[in-house]
Amino acid sequence: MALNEFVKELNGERIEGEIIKTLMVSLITSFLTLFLIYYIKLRDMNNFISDYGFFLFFAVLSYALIMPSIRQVRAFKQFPCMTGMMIGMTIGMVSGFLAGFYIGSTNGMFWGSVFGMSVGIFLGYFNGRCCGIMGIMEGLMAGFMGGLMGAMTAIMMYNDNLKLAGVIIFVICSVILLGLNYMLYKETKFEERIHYEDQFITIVLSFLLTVLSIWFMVFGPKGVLFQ
Amino acid sequence: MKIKKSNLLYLVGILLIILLAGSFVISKSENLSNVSGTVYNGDVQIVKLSVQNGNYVLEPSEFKEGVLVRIEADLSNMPGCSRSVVIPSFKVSKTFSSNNNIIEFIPDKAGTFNIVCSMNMYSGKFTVLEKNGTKSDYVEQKINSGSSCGAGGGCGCGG
Repeated sequence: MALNEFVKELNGERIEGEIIKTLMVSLITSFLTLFLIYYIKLRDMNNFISDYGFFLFFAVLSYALIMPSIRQVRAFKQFPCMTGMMIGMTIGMVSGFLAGFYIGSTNGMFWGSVFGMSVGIFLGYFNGRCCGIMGIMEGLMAGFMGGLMGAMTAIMMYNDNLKLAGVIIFVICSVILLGLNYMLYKETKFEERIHYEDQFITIVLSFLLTVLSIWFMVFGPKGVLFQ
Repeated sequence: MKIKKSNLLYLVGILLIILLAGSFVISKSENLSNVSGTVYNGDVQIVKLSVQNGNYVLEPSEFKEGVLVRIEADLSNMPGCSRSVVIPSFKVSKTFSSNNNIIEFIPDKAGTFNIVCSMNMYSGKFTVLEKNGTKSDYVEQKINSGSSCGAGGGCGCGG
């Protein structure tokens, strides 16, 4: 069965064998950035961890989960249009939703939407462009919608188990992203990898997303509920 | 299934990072104050909260600084998301239910403050007087309500 083969490939020599390593690199980059900024700048800030810690923690985990899919897409560069649409849609929607949700939880619906849409549209486009205009369009639309939906969900749940909702949403998105990894494996099973690269993109993206999230949560503009 | 040694190391590393960072966050976290249920001694200012024409109405709407305020919600007049109340300035946040319709908090600063629903659709104002009974000049920034709630209440997004 293909699923068993996929699990075996997580230990193999193909791109799937780099998924766990990519996850690890992203987590190290993001948490190092987070702790460095915390000890240099935010340590003396009252209630930093209690106000933002939970949401930053899950934002960082979310970014780490998105990175392996990005690496998988970049390894093959070209896919059929339908696959491209799924790539753009999944990455755009999940990244937009998660970023929007976590920023929306600390900064309000408007700024959560702005941040979520920016991240979703950027990552949706960045990955969907592998496969022509359909992938790009799907990435843009899903990123736009996911960003808005994430922030809106956060505000709607603000007084009703917001943190628990954050965990549940994270788990569901993890399963969806794992599904994308599996789909990409099935699509490229008989193809040769055409692009080899180090972890530079993973490190840069993780660093940028973490810094932007911290800046937005702590110093960024906030809606009236959070002032 | 045999796991490659390097992957095993990565997995252990990932788990360690998540556990360390997670425990650090949890150990330093505290929840938004849901202050209802705390027992206080001394004076209590009892306030009735309801919704009229899409706005929160508090009766009386003036409290004294430093004295416990007990807000009792009239749920028969509070539709949808208006039952989920936030007072941002005092970090008070609560969703009322039929057997739990009270918020208690001690206003520790004087001025005019906002009370809103969690989706910022319903809003209202109340004033906290100085300890000597005079009115403070401080007025919290006006809330620009998103208002998908009609005058009769009920929010556009599942409220």
